[in-house]
Amino acid sequence: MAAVNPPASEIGGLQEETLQSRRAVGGEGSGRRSRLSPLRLARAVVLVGVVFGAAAGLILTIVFGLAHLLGIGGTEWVGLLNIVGVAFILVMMTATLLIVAERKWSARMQNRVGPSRARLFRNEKWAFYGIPHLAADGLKMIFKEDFVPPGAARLVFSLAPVLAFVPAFALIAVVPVGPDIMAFGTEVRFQVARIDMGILFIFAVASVAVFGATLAGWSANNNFGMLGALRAAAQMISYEVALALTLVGVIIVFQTIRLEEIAAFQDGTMWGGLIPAWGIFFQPFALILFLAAAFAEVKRAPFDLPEAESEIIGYFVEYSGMKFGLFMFAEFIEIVALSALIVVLFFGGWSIPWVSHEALQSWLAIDVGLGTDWAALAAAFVGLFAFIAKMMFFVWLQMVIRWSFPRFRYDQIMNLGWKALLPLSLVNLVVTAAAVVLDPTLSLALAIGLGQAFLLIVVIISADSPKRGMMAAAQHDHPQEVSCST
Amino acid sequence: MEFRDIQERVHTGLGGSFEVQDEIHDPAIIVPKEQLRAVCGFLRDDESLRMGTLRIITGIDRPAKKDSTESGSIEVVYHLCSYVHGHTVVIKTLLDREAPKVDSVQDIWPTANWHERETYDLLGVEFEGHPDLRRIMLPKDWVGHPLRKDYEPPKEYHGIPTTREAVLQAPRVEKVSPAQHEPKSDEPPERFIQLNMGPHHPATHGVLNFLLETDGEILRRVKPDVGYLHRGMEKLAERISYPGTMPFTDRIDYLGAMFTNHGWAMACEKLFGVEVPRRADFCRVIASELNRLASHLIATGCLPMEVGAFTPFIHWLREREIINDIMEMICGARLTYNYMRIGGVSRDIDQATIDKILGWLDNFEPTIDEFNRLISGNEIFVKRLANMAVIPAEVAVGYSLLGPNLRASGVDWDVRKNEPYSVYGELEFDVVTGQGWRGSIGDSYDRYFCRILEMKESVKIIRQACDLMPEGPIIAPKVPKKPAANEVYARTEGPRGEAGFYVVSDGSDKPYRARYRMGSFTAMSVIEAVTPGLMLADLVALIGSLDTIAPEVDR
Amino acid sequence: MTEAVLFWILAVLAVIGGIGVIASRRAMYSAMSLVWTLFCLASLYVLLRAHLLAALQVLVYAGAIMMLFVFVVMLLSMTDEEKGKARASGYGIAGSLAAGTILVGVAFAVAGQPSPEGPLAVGTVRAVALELYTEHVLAFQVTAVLLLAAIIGATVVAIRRI
Repeated sequence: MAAVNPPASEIGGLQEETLQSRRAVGGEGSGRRSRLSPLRLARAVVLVGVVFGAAAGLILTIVFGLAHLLGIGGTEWVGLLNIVGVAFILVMMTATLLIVAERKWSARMQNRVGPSRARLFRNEKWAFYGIPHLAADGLKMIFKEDFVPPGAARLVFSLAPVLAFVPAFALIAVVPVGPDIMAFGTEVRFQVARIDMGILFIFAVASVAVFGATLAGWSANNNFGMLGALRAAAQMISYEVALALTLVGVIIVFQTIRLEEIAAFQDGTMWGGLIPAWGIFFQPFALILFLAAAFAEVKRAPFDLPEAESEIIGYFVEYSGMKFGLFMFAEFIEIVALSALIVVLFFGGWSIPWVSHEALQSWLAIDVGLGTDWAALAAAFVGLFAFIAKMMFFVWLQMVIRWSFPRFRYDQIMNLGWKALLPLSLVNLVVTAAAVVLDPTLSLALAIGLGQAFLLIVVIISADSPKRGMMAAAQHDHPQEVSCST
Repeated sequence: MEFRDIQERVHTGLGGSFEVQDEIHDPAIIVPKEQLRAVCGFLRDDESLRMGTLRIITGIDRPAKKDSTESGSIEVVYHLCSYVHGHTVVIKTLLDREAPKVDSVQDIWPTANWHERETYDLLGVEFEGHPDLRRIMLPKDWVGHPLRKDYEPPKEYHGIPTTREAVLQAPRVEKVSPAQHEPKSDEPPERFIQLNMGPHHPATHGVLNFLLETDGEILRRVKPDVGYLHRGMEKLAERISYPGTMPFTDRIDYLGAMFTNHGWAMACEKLFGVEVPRRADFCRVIASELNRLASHLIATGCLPMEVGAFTPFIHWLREREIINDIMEMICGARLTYNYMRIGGVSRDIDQATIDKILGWLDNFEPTIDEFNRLISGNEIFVKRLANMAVIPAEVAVGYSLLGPNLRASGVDWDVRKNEPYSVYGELEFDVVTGQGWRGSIGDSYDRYFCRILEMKESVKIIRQACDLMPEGPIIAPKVPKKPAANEVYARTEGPRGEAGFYVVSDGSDKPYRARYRMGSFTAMSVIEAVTPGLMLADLVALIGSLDTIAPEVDR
Repeated sequence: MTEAVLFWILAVLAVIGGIGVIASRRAMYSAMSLVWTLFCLASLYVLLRAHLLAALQVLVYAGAIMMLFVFVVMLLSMTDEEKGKARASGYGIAGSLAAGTILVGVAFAVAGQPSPEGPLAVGTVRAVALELYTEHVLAFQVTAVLLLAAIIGATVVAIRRI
């Protein structure tokens, strides 16, 4: 009588697999989802740890190993090695993998399987969490028609993707991803450029990033692109102000604008080893503001107005192939760079809480018995690992936010930037400055920061519960509510 | 009020005596075209009548008989309804077929604007005093009016063959030269941006077009341009038998095919005088409410997607997939069901299916709360929708909005409750109206949240219907082939509001005229009125909150 | 040695950018050439160890002011007739003469100065900040007030227009 799904043999292997995966995820006839088992969790943690460790080891090998072999320790040439080790291995690789990771993670959040079709050698088992899709995506991008719309400003149209890509990539240059080490007579640092401008470099580069999006939208001779360009320009210029002002508080606390000094400072502790001297504990409020402003700079949801695909399709509406790929890739690189920046400014960079780099090194050297040189390398490895782990956490956080929130409207985003973030960051700046002037040992600043953190937590909890209450009331008691209608 | 009382009231109120056509199912007052506006104004404004809503305007072509000397006529039929008193009336006016002209009533009921345009487009009736009498479904340079009985379709349109034979013989077109744009007649001021939002735009996905005039991000004028999916459903029905039209009604509203099925079946049953077995009615209700759930899942899932949150949509798709599985068990199809028959349904719903439905409902109900936690209470989502594009009750009634869109504006009107059909009278459920949950009554958030709450009511209805379902046959034993000459209007409460089916029969085995009244058509017509001053992003959210379906608009 | 090579490369590039500003027919290309020149200048400042100046050059001029230029050019969307034709007018000749005079003057003025031995430490963030907030704090504050007045003025004008 009632028609059921035809047998698998009739609809072919691929479709049958789709059906099966759908049932595995959604469960047949059930809206509830399976829970994460401890075993799977443990497996995932180990896997992630191995990957992070491999990345840290690779960076260490390239930067230190090559510097030692070539005998260029301590010179500016280490910066070149870092371009390979940090910029290419860490940032490029992470951003590349993010292309798949984002699709995979959004699939997780949405109860889907995500990319799983591209496999190595057509082997069923070699799906590798969808990573072969990178090749598929890349080939698709390269071989797509490189379309330039009629009436476009050709030179600018071709230049814009590069202008979007380069600043995103340059951001990482001043970020220290690991402690400075001295082993086997070779001194290396894990930072591409150690320059006097520090944070100012970040601001300067971020302020140039707006050209890419704006010119892309303008040059395409498309009104939707033009709207996207206007949105991008207005949004990025507005949030740059707030972005910079939120960080001034951090600069005041750490008394320097050099990122390597900020990272080194956070390696210590405050109040006699009670609390790590991390930026988050001094400036929790600034962190929230910075996150909001930075998300707006990266143009990701809920601030993805310039590319709002359901409204104006975005400033890159006319782009195809690898030119579009550069925009997409720039976004992922910005995510990584931004996460690295958050970690360095607020979460102690490469440090581990309560254990300073020297203490770790001497413990490794003497108590474990590695010897000074190997202990320095091991401590550097731990630092790199900690940095990567923290950075990946914020990459993950940005993805979760991207896939949970709706998008602001243009006027709302402007109001948020100018009427909320800017005054609040100014208040934060004044309070921080006063606290540091009154008490140069930073105890007062730390107390205020912890107070802020406590306040924020209270506000978040209290703001959430009545909302849920109201939602529940609207659902369960509405018969009474609806009786009073026209 | 019954028809006789309304007729009395009109006669006393206007001091005349109108002809009445009362041998048909829904009796009609026949008004001379000179007095049409007076009668319409009276019907709308009289305290005891209050016909605030124009349901639909239908044109019926009645050419002269072959050997008759008198010239033919065109009937224009107005279905009116009062939400205040809950009564309805039909008025008709007869026009000269050669030069059909009648006064426009679009200032009495704003919704008449689009209905009159459609009547003009398809039948060539000219409405005098209409501000914008253009074709709405067909291209503006189309020749002829397809719903005229003597209409001959052109053999080709701009070099494109239109008949099947010609298409098969035509040489393959390798490259199409781009269309020549007409020079703009009235050049707008420089500061406004002209935008074509659609048909190739993610929010309009190929099926409709909005001509926008924006001042930066702020909308100055929005003109919906519909007709991209016009398939001539009403013309098709005239050439196909009554039961044969059933699968076509699926395609009117692909997300609520059960309701269009049901409406057509009910109209035909009234015409044929067929009794539906009780079990069949329960089958219809269960299937319909499941379909309502599926449709609301899309509506409430797409709205967050339009404002940028993709995840809720996929979660609802997962649930909808299970509904589709159940629908497949019920009728063998997942989207275009073709489930109902004149006098019953095509297949029974067996116990295994009912068990599956009930099992799924137990899981689905908590999922609604989960969904609310995910998106309905989200601060950004609320900010985007609350107080945005508020449609007050008068505007909603005047523009004849339907279903959740109407109820969100605070009008307590649900066909299932107010004019119960099938077995809805026996079932317990509440009608959800907008409460201004996060802003004011009738804003986009209310339209969204009404649908969420309606899903809970549908769950209730399905549970009861599964409980109460009796044993028995599922289809009437004998259905005649030809009905008597008659006119009926049947309505069902679909996910996008009242689906109305006006069927005119001339005694043959094919409908003489079929007219479908759909919620999205009026919802689309209100967009032009409420958008000025909104922002570009709001337009997308507004379309989502009105839950318009292009095939329903265009038919 | 490296610095000299870099200096000449950057100098040539900066001049090419400068020529692009005046020679481009489209306003957008002129603006982009100017951004290019500003970047080259910022790089020259870096060579002089004036990091603060380099950062501000990019941040303020390239990132903010030129962005506003681009914004305006974007909205203008000039048609071909408005672009004008390249022709030698009296203004052009006068301008060229004036520019040439200034160039020669600057060249003579610079040629007379002894070139400094190695980079100076006056351009670092700390050095500039110390100067700015101790010696010139009054001027700094007055400039800030002036800018504030300008912002208020702009807001007032904008409000009246809206």
